[in-house]
Amino acid sequence: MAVTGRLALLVALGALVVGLGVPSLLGVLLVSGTLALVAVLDALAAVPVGSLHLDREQDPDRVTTLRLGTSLEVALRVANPGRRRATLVLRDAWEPSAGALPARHRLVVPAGERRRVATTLTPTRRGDRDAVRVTVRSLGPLGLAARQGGRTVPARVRVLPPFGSRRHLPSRLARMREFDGRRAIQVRGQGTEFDSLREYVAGDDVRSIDWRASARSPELVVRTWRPERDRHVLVVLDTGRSSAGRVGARAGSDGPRLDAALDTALLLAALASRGGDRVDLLALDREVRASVLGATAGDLLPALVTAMAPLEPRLVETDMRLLAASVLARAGQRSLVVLVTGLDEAAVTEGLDPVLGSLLRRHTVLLAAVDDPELATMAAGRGDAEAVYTAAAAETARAARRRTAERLARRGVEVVDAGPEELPPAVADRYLALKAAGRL
Amino acid sequence: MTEGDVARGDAAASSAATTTAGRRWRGPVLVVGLVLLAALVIAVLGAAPRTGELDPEAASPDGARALAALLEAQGVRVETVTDLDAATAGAGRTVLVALPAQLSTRQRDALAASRADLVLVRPDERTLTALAPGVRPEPIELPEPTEPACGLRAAVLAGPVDLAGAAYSTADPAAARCYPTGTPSGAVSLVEVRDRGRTVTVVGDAAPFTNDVLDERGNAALALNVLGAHPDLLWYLPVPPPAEPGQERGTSELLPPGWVWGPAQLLVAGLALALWRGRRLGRVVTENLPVVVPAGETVRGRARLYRRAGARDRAAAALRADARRDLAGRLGVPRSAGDGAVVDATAGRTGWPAGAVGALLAGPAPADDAALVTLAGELDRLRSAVRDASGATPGAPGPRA
Repeated sequence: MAVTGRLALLVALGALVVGLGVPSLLGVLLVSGTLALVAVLDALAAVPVGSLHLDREQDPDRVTTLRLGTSLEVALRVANPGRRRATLVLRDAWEPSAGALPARHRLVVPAGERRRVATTLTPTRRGDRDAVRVTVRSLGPLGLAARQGGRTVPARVRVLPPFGSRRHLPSRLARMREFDGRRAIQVRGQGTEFDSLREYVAGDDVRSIDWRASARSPELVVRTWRPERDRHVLVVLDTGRSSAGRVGARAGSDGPRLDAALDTALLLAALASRGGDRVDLLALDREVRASVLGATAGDLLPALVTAMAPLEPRLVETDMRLLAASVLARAGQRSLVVLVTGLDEAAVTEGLDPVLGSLLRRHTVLLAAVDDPELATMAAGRGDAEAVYTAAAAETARAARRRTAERLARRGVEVVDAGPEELPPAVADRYLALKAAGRL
Repeated sequence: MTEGDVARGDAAASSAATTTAGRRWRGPVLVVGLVLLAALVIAVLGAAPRTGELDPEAASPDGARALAALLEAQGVRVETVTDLDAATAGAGRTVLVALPAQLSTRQRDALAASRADLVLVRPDERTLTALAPGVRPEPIELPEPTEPACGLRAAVLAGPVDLAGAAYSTADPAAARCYPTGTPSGAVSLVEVRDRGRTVTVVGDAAPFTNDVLDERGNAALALNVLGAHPDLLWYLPVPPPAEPGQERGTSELLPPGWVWGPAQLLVAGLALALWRGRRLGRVVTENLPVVVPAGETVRGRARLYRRAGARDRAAAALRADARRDLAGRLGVPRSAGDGAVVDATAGRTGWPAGAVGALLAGPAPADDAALVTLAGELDRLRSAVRDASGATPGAPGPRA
């Protein structure tokens, strides 16, 4: 049971009746008691909440998806099978970060009819968001009091990562086309594979003439080459402790390192799949959190964002042995293993170093680390003792990062260390460079 | 685009901005202006509240300073009083009750008990009952009596006067009834009755006594003759007296009995209000939020540790190492060459003394925090000197060349 502002107003107006008409305790009891009785009767006359049918328009078995930064309308259907008109105040509650608006709906459902209540979700973070509970307040015919009840009507939306680095894709694709098979090159070199034989035309490099083939043919035949295709790229996301750090002010929101890592993985996957390579994804810390294997080029990006959506950084040290074992189990042929993790000196020395050998033996390893732009700001601090000590601490941290990166590079790991905005294009560029050099 | 174009563009943009701002503010400004204008009009038109009504000191149109002066000139002593007891107003005096409606009951009783002649200016019914028995007010709007039409000496001498106020009637055959209004009931604007040996004159309008029209028609003659009958005139401007001691009543005593139950009902309304606002539409929703750690936190923590421990040597070493690395890269000194090579190359490029550069890049730890701050500034200066020198080198065009 709940009362309304109308009842409060009536009780307040009752003060006039009491004050001018019956100024006594009896008057107060009489007026208040009458109104209380009327309110109770009004609530009893309201349509019982339990008699209403609530359901969702969405199929409860299918998860609705939307990209972070966009809005989605979720609809609830309210049916009133009774013989009285239902005047309702309804709240379709979702988890707070789902950004459900409006918070409450007012609606009238005539007897035997059904109404649709639309709530707009504007999520503020990635992941799965659940509908929590629908609360219904059914007002009595006088609008003085109401019955209230709630019910769980399950629904779930999956908020996908925004893929903000998508804008870097066209320029990288254009660069890839320059050495792609679409412009067959006739110079044989590292990183190319045999494409086809075709007739010689004036202007072709005479060095590319395939004499053996020409001998069997009435024409002169040249060989063409194209960059390697159908390579395997395995993106490994570290969702452990190092991915939890909140870095820089990324255009409006400062997310954890993991957000930049997801962006990096998406751009690389989009680029590599257009370049004819197979892309797999693995996300893990102490256990495997997400895994996308063997997706076809068309399904790849949807599969990736769906797998990435629920990923959250965890405050545990990543199990590098598990990482190495998982990589080796999933990458049969020689692959490019893109490891998005941190460059903490201790973590690399004790975690990654021991297992790096087994990875490098069979694969090319690219380590991408999200740098904190604030380090540079702190390192440039001058003026007073506190700023200078902070600058010194920042320089120490940068030196350690640099040292770690150099040590990894000496062991043959490709290291890309850049800020959250710069990392996705930097990794894409390094991938293109590796591809052009035939090191995939 | 020339400079003129830029200027024109800016001017157009700023005028557009002004127009937009003007449009946005037009409504509120208009409303405020109208309110101010209305306030001004009301202030001007509704100004000058009636002041000094029948006050013998007041020179306003409603005042009676002219009449008081004329009476003094005729040898009548005019005394202004705001309260009066029966003893003061003895026989052989005239009491002009200027504003009878303001008399309190006690004051009215005191007047009734006195033996002085009374002149009542437009009295209300209660005053009439107490002081001029037998005279009743007549409900006539704005009578316009012209001629005295009676035997009263003052009225006969005055002739036509301005008495467009209230009208009265009386059944007393001995009463003088002057300035009839011409209604069948026989209402008149000036009545003089005799009551217990004194004369009570009821004047229907204060106009004949006021500064405004005293000099018109027979107003002055009427006023002087009515008020100048005795050499002593008490000009009574009644002011409600303060409550007598022991008779003050508190605010609660002025309220009707049982008033307290109205607010009590309001308290119940407050309870209903609290019930209305306090009932939540469904429970509070909680959510597990992901852990998020500011990445720079460890660095700041280490900076605080350095500072608390006074680790100037470590701090200076970190800053120097970074400077050496930067300079080595800029000057093309191989990393294996050692600090001495960097110092030499830097000194050579900038022209700074090698000793000073050496002390800066690889000297002893600073003695205090101030020296550390200075060291950091000097390292920056050295780096920018190298940058400038590199830029100025012939054949190597720098950014400023």
